[in-house]
Amino acid sequence: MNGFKNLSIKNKIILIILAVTVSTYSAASIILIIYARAEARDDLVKELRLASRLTGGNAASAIAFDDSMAAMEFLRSLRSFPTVAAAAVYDENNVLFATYRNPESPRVAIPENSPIANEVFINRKYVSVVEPINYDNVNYGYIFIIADKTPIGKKTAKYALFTALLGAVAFGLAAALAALLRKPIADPIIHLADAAGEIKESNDYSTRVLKRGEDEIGKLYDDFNAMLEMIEKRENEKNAAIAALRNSEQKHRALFESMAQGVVYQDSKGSITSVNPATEEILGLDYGSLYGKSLSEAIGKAMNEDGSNLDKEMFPDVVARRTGKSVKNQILGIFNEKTKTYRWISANSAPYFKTGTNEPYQIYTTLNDFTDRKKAETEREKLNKELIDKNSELEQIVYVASHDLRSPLVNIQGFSSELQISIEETAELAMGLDMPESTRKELTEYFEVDIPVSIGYVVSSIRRMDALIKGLLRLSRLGRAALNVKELNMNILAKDAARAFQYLAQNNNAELQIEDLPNCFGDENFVNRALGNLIENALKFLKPDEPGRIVVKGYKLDSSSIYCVEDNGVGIKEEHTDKIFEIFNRLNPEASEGEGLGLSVVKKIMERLDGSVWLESEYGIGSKFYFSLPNSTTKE
Amino acid sequence: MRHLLTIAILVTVSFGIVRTADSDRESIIKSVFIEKFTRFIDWPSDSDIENDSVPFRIGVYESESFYDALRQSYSRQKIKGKKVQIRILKSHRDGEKCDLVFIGDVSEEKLKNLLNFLEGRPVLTISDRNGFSEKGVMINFVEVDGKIRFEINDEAVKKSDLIFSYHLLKLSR
Repeated sequence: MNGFKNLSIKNKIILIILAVTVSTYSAASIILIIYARAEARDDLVKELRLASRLTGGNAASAIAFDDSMAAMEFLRSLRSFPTVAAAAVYDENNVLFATYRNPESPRVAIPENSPIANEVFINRKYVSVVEPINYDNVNYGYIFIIADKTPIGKKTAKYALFTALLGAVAFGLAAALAALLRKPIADPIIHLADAAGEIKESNDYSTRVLKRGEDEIGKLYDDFNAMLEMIEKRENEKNAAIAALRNSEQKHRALFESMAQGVVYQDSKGSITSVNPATEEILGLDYGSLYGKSLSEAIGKAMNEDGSNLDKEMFPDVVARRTGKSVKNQILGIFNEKTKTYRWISANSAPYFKTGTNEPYQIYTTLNDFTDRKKAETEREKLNKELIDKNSELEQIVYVASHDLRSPLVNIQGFSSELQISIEETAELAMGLDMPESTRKELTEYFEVDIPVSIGYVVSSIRRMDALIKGLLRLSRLGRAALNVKELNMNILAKDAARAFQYLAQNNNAELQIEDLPNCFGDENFVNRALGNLIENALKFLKPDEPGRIVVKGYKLDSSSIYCVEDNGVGIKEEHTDKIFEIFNRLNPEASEGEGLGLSVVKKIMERLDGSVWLESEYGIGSKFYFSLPNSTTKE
Repeated sequence: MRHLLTIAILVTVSFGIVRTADSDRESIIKSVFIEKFTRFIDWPSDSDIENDSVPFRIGVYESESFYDALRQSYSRQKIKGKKVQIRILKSHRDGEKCDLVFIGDVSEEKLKNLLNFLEGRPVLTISDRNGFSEKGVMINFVEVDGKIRFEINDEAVKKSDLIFSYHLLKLSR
């Protein structure tokens, strides 16, 4: 059977067809021969029975009238049956009554008494039958006929020869048909096998086989092609994945090697398996002295953020491995053996689990050295504090100075008035006196021109100085006043402010327009003042020969509400835009009134309310002053 | 049952053969043969043969000895399934009420009268005189090689309404 397994498919098919043909034909032939033999025997027996009935019928009267000669005569008619070797008639008492022997046949034994009626006896050479001799339902005796069996053999042999000849023809035909018919089955399979072999050699999965029919082999071809397609797709995906993995690995490796952060891999036992150069740098230890140890074992001295000694059990990698949970942003001071200094490190440790296990198979730790940043932070904090101190000192000075300056100024103002009155009185007195005309003229010059002018300057200077001091006082108060921050309805607030300036605007031939404004969060007084200052500022710098137009608008941007006070005034030259928010800066002192603190106040207010102020301006066309305030209470 | 009956008859016949003289023996065989003839002969269906109340009637014409042999043979034995009635015919007219007539040693004239009278009637005629067959008796016993055989007059048979079996015809001389 193994031999059959290894045969090629076409030979298998031929062999199967031939085997089927031969076996079925042989079986059929054997059955046919057996049947033919049985039939030949039955025919012979039938023939003998017929012969015995014919002869026996005649013999009935011969027995009845005891005429054995007549019976013998009747038996002699059996000569027409050459196969009959002998025959006998027995009377009703089974006694032999008459006999017949075929002279051509060998002598056979004739029983003295009749064998059992209706029985057929067959031995190797002869067939015998016994039939009762009846007439009109009366039994007269029996007839026995024994015949040569050779006709059966001859007939059987004839059939055997015939079937053998037919078999030979059928076998030849089957062989020829098998050779023809194997093609449609064997060829596609051989083709498929060849294709599979080629693909195995070449690994070219883009190959496809062309099917030739829709039978099972066609289906096999389709499935084979589908399988190839799947393999090809997988192969492509695999290659792409390998390439992506390699690429990722390279990137990862480059990152790992070059990153400033230290990265440490530990196995399930906590032993270090891999570190990057940054780790070596941060810890001041090379890979050789780290490998196979835990971080706590490798690091000599370490401390907590508050300067206390760090317990070995509290190292982030140890904690992560013990608890199975990530450790985040643990601050450690680690003594670097190379630089002989403590390095401040923020460490993260994460355990990694394989699905279904409770023990981490890997601990992954990052070390973020923020020593330098910590130093810078400390420095900045110090500077900030100094700055705040200086600022408050300065504000104190400004406040004290301005406050203290006001008392002498009030004196100067009062005594200047007194002085003016005194001089007027003095002038009256003097003019009543006799004096030469030249002197009178000179005195009149003094009293009526020089002195009033001088006093006028003094008074106006005092007034200006007073305004300045008041401004300074307000400004210094801005830094100190308590804030009451709440949500402000800017539409109401702006309209109120505008109303306050309505008269001034009309006098300046200007139109003041408020558009719809978003709400914001701030101190109502401060915002009111800032907006008032900006409107006042805009009114102040309108073009004298042109109707003024001032628009307040606003919109929301992210978490801020932005407002704009736009005018068509003189505008500001670009080189001056930085200066205008500075204290006491007036671009054109002669052309404008005020102490020059308005925009400084706005800037200060915005700083205190977490807002900002800026401007866009074009000289000769107009300015846009913007300020922004938070529109929610959450501060960034 | 039939076999047993047959055997019984044969036994009886054998005893008869042993006890009686040759002529007696011959008469017995002949009387037995008579029954056997009837087996191979069909009477017309419109005759009394089909009527079971009528016995099978044998008339013996001019033969005392055969009358005795018949009486001996058919005291119990039936013919055609019927009881057998045997009588002696006084004249040829008595043959009218018979199914079978055994003709003994009669004159040629008597024979002629009888045969003329029986012609066309369903009556089987049997005799045992040389030459009677040719004279118109249907079955006539003859002796061949010391054995009792019989001859049949085909013409006579054809004239009657009786039908003789081919088996019987074959055995005749």
